[in-house]
Amino acid sequence: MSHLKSKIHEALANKQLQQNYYKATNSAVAKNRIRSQEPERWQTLRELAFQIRKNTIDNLAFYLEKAEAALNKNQIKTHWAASASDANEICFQLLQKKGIKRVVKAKSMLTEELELNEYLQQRGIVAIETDLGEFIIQEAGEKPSHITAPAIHKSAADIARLFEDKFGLPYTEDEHILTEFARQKLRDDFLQAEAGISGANFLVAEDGAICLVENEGNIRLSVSAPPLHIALIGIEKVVPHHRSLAVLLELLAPSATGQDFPGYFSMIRNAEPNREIHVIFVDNGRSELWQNHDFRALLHCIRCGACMNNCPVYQHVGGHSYGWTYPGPIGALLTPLMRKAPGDELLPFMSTLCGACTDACPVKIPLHHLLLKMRHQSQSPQTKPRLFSFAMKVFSKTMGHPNFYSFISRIAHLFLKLIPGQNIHLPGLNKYRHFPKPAKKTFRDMI
Amino acid sequence: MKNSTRDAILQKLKVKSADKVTFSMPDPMRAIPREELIARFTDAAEKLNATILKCHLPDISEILKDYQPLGKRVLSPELQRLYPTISGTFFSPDFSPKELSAFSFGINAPQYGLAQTGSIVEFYHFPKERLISLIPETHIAILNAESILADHHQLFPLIPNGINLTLISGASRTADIEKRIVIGAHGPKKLIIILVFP
Repeated sequence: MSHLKSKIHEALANKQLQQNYYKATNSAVAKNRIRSQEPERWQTLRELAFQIRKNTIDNLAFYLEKAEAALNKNQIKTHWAASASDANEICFQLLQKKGIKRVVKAKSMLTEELELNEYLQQRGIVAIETDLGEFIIQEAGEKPSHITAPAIHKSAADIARLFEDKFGLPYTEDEHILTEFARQKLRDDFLQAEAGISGANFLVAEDGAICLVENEGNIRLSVSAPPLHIALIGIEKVVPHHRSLAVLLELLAPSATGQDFPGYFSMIRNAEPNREIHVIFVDNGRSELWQNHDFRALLHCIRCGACMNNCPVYQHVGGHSYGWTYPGPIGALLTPLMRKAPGDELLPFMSTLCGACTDACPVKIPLHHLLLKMRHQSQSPQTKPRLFSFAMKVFSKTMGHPNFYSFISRIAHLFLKLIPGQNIHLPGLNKYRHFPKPAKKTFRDMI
Repeated sequence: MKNSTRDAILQKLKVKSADKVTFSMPDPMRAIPREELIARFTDAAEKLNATILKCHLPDISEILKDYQPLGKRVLSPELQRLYPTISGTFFSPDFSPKELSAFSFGINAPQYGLAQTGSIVEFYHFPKERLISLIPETHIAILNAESILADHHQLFPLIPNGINLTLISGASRTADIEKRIVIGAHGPKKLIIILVFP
């Protein structure tokens, strides 16, 4: 059994895990007030956001050079990293030069992608994750299962057991006590840290503002308390100006958590006296993706997580099944193009192509169309069994002729009624699915 | 080495000429009467569990009496000019984060409020000033009731050059455990906004 398959089976067999995903993603989707209650404004903003992202990404070099010049003008030093190891090494050198052994980290999916923590740890530097979700999974020795809610797969009971085992906190599922415990535990780390590492949600080209979005205050603390701040920023994160930023900002929190607006939105635009700021521009496969015209639109992504929150496949198999930093529909596309590990080409098949991701995407990335396109590209005609190709031809002819379809479905109904018993298990369907017994009357008979 | 990496990345991304981003924003809520802005701001901020107090300028130190002792208050430097009757310890950039954590109340005067989201907008003119609304357990923001804007679309063009800023919407919070909201994550556990009328 392939790695992917075994992960999927493991997730499908764990009903509690599915409950955790189900509850968390549905609550985020349901709370998106602007999408459900102001559909016209929602659509206007999405269209604007699409134009902004498309234009920025199409002219990426222009905006990156602008952003770099603005950062340098603000006394912020800039570095460029072609690969994960470049980025990690630059970061390590900056810390080592100052003899720093402990750093606090604001939540950053880019640093998860780079495996920065592991890189630093191997070289004797401890990186402490400070976002509650990241803190939980770091202590559990796991990886994030969602890009905005990294511990979404864990129930309160899981976290209670973890805190009991790790810290001797008497077992409690009370989220207030657990949160307060993490606050107290990390307090001294914040107050004494010599460096903070962050990502960035946006980087404004016109004035070099590093924009950070959060709710907990851990990002503000990570980048305000210590005298050194290192921001690792994917080259696609640039936005032209404040007006375009305002549009994206209005879409981000509703899409991510269902909040109207993030708890904290910080713009860091200048280094203060005795505070050093470094920006590392990270490519790590992005420029190659940019050159791939079929999939360049993936660089429009603002990492809100709406596509996974709305995805029925993600809700069932969970974030870890996708095997890399980015799960859900966006991950099923990014992973084969960026990580390119054996087996990654199967990821675009982890979709029902229902289109819920595309509908939810605040920057209108046509996710399910791209998933389909990637499937096409990964299947050359030679690899398809001939019987399959024949069956597909028959299927396509049938679907294209309503009368013929109607005729065939009547015949099929007659045959299906002959099968005895309820919920028949058919070969080809896995053990989690059963073929239901057909209704007495077809839909066509009823209307 | 460094420059060659930079140039190689940019070279891969080059197009002949850059298109300028042009678009028209949906009309931000422009002509809204002040009373309405204040009502919306209050409503939105209270929904985020912020406490809203209202007072007239001369009564400001009176309303702060509930937040004693004076030694536990750290004040942002511009309060001296804006609200000279408020007493406490004035913040100095020499304070270490550790020293700041000895204060229970961080008091400052944000530049703007945003009606739509109930946010307060802090512009930081002094180094480390942002720690005032971050480290003490209670953040008290004194906001001129006349400086409430409709939304962040109105705000962004007004941001002056060369400063850092934060938009704060409610006290710090998390929902990382089963999406259940907990107020008071790593930032302040309580946010009090005092709306000051002339």
